[in-house]
Amino acid sequence: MSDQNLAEWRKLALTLEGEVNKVIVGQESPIKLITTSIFARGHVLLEGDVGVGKTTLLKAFARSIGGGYERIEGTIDLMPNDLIYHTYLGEDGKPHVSNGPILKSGEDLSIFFFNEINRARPQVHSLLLRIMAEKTLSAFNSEYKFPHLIVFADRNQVEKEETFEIPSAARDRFMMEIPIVIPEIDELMTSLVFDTKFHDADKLIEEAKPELFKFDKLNEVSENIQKNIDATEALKTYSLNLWKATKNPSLYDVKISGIDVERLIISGASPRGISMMMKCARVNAWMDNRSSVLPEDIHAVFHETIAHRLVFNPVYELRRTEIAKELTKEIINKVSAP
Amino acid sequence: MHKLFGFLIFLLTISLNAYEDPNKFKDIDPKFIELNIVEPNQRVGYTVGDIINRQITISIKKPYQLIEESLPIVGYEKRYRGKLLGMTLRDIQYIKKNTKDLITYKIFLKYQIFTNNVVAKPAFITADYYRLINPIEPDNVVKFRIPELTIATSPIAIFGAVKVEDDMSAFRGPLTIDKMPSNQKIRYGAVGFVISILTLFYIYSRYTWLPKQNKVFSSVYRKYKNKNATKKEIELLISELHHGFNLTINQALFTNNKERLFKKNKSFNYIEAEINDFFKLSKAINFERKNNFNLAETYAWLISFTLHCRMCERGLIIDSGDIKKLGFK
Repeated sequence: MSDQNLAEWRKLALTLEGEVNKVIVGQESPIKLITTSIFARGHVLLEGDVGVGKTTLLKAFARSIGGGYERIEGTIDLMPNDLIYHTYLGEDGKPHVSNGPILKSGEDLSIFFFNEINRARPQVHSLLLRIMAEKTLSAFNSEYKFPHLIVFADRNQVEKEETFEIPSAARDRFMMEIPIVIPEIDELMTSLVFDTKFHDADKLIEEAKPELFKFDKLNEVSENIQKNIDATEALKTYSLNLWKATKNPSLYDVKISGIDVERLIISGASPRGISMMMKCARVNAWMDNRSSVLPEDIHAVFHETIAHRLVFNPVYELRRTEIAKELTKEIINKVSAP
Repeated sequence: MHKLFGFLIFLLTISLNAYEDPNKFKDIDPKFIELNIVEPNQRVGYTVGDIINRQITISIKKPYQLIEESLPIVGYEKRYRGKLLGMTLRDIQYIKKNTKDLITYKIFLKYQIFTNNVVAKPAFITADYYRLINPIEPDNVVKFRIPELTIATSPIAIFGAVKVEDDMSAFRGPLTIDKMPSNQKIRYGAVGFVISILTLFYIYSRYTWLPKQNKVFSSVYRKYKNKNATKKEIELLISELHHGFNLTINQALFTNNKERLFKKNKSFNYIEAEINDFFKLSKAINFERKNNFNLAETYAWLISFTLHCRMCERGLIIDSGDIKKLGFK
């Protein structure tokens, strides 16, 4: 793919971002991050309260990207086969089997949204892990492939009853965990409540332009971005230092008020995590029309690509969101570049 | 000879005119004067060097006024019947208070004794005559007498024991100069010296360079100012400057947290444009592999920037006219 094509794709990426911003207000940063993850071909975990617009956001993206969009609600009695097939009695009185949400769109499946993933059992998580990692599924004596699939999942962190914490191995499969928070701006909050266009989500989504580009070209575009955006030795050293800091923050004099940093981390970022961070940083540089990655590109995606991969001491696990935010901020503050 | 004799006669005439006979003026009617004298409590035992204080308050009814020139003059030696009495007026001060009917003078006199005797002997401060004038009749000058003060002077040593070496008592220490004032001066001097040293130390540690004071830009400037402009040196200098900024704010400095630097040291605010250029250059060299810059010019700019950082580090303000723009794009 030529540089010119990449430039055209960049315009499309910015158009996609703009289209979704038209539908979802006050979420500029999450929208940019999701756009980044789409072009870095990574799965996204959304974190936020109920009713903040996560589903609408993803539907808007699905509409503009094109391809198959499927969703499923996580419940405690959801079983792995519920993702693969349905059985029912047909009009002819005989049992029938139809494809579940994963298989319904076939190879064209581009976005699969798993709502409240932490309500599903670990068996479901493990199936999803394989689909996310290998983008294949064995069923009905056949091997199904989903080359264009991106999984979006969200988890409700407020309620803990009847939920299963997503294991660190599963979390590590997600490229980003993006917090969705309604900004506390009076004007924005008032329009969300009183502007009638926000009352009907389906109608709202229709405002976003459909099928902006060919979703089946995204893998190729992503590969080209990774090939064309340069990372110098200084940047490699910087990202390596950041990685080391996630494993042993005290080496870089990282301090968090009220936290024993020496005991905080059980496991730092994984090699997969750091490589995903770099992929996202490259996409960020490409979207900002640069040919090289700068430290600021890493900063733009560092928290979202790293925080959810860190394994904390169980003493601090209950305060994960707050501590992880502080930790990633401090790591960026303390690790110097170059 | 005649001329000399004539000159001596002239001098004698002048000196005779200078002496004024007190009897030349009439005494003032006492009803115009109210006199109050505070005499010293000590009347006897004065010896050479002692001071006698006398306070005289005179209230003069108007229209009379005191001729202030008639007050005793400092240095005047008291005489009696032409002989020196051995006491001199050392100091005179007065306060004048003018009311509708009265003029009141409060006069403070200090006499010093310059005489001694082998036995106790009466002495006195002779009477003084102050002259007054009525402005309505300026030719009619009158006088007023300040009474004498009788005292007694005493010997320093007991009569007969005139040799000090014969009066060597073990209970009496040697006569020494009082060391208190000198010690006091030394103490004040020492305190002043310590304060000055601490002040200088504070100024130097805060605003200039001292070892181990985290004054990093000074050492960077000294290290690089005379080096050759090579790409390697430029890279090293940029790296050291980044390190300097990081030390200054105790965290990594990026373009998006410059405010922290300005908050820490307001002087850097004045070179914000240069800092922006520095980051642009640093990114180009470290992260963008750009090589289209003039080594000599860039190095010269970096040295100038380092110097400005050193000045900022010392709390100085850079003149905007001194700031150079980096030609690098």
